[in-house]
Amino acid sequence: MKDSEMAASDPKKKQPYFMKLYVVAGERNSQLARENIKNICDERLKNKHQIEEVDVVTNFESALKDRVFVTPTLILVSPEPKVTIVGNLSDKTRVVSALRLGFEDGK
Amino acid sequence: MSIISGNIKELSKTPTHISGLDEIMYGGLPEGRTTLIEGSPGTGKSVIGLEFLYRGALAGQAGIFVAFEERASSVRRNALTLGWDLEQQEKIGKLTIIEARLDPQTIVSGDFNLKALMAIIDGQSKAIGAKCIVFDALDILLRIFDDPVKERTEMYSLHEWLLDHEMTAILTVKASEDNNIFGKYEFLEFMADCVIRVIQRPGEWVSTRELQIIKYRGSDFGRNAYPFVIQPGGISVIPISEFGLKHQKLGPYVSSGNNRFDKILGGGYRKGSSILIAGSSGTGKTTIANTFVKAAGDRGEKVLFLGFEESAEAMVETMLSPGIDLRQAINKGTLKIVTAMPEAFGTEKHLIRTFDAIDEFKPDHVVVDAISAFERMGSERAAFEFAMRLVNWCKDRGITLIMTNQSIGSTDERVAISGLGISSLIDALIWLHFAEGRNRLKRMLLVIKSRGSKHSSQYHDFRVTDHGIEISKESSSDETNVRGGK
Repeated sequence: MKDSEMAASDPKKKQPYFMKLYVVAGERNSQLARENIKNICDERLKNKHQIEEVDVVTNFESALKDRVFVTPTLILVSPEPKVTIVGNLSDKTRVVSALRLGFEDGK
Repeated sequence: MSIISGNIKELSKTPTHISGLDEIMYGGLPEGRTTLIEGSPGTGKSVIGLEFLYRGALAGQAGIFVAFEERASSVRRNALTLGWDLEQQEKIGKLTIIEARLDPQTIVSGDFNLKALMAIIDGQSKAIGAKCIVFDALDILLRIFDDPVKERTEMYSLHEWLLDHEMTAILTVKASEDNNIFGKYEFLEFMADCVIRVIQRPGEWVSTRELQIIKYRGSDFGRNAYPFVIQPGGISVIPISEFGLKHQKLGPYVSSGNNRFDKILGGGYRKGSSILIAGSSGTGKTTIANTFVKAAGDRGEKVLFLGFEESAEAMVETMLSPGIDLRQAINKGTLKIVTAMPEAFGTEKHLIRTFDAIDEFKPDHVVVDAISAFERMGSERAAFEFAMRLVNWCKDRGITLIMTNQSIGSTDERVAISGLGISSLIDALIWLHFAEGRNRLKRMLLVIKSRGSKHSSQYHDFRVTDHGIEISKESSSDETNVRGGK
């Protein structure tokens, strides 16, 4: 109990939703993906999420470890099961359903 | 070393170190450029790519293998079956395997590109100083692009990246003649500077793999479809000359020295053909070969006998007991026996010695007893190369080549008789073996193939008597079912 309370008190460390977004700095599709996922999360997850951004050019080791070969790539790390979405995340319906965040109801 | 004619600059090449391949590519792959290898699954595309990197690594040239389909662990395991220790090369920083299998659950939403892959390759190639790279099963990667325009754009930018970094690259893709999908990756064929197609042709006993270069920008190349084999040690491509194997007409029939055997063969051996007599120890391979040597001697034809098993004296002596007297032919000078221990020197020296003997003596026929001994020249691969080059040497000169091959205790007889993997080059294949008779162990003979002749496909009993070999019309045994048929 104590542990989870501590985790909850530190929003940086353990949010229910943890995602990694692999990008190439300055690229249009990466910029779009960043905006698209931010909008979805703000709308659906309020503050229960954390997105870690990784630049593949400066951190190719991480990309290799996560088997990320295309950019942009979004990985939902937790909650399990893991989900991998590639592309600029422009298809909101698809992204929302893939991330198990309910149906996009045209809100 | 190469001749530079006028002001045409020779293209720089990177050797593949694959036996025979560099020969037909006139030196190797185009350096700093991209080569496409296409073929149906299981034809050996990946093995070609891997051998290029492995042999390069051994020669000090670092390389990267990008596996889009296989796990890195299975790439390593498969390599081990060929005798290549990839892990050792990975440890010393001469090879990196990147497992680039995409998660099949991956969801696509919107536009993306291959920058991450390029960043990974860039990082890994800088880490070990790699200049050679193989993208294995690129078709698997291409599946994530739904849009052919996008697919092309990305492949072109990957290609640009490879050119900018002066990487000598091999891309392998699955495509096949049968499904008419050669050309599915037409844009890759256009993009690449060199295109190799790999085909597998099913055969009666052994399927044959063939490789053909269909394009090589800025360079000449051998234009045939060349057979190749994959065996422990690696790939061997058989660089048959333009007027070689494929176009060589078989000569007239020459008697095997036994009337019945001639009938079974469909008329005898063909002059200028390659004949393999395979069987386990004591089945009579040497006796059958020498039956021919004796008959050729009586006809006044010249025979060069290459013995790797025993001394000339011992061989001549042994042949007297089945009534085959070779002494007259030796005295007349029509039979020359050259013996050597396979271990005495390396393959190259054996070859030079053999070729010199052939060109000096100018025989009508060459007999080799036994090619199984070639393995003692170093390795199976060395043995294969010796046999393969000897077959070519004789073919080119219209010389009949009879080889014996001792198969030892293999349960898979097809493997045992295949004779160092050269059976696809062999015109006639004769198999001797023992079978249980009623009260005795008897010898059986089967002609598996005799190219260009209507040969018997039945088993025949044969015996070695004190006046040569005796062969029955067909097997007396029920086990072969030859009489029960109709």
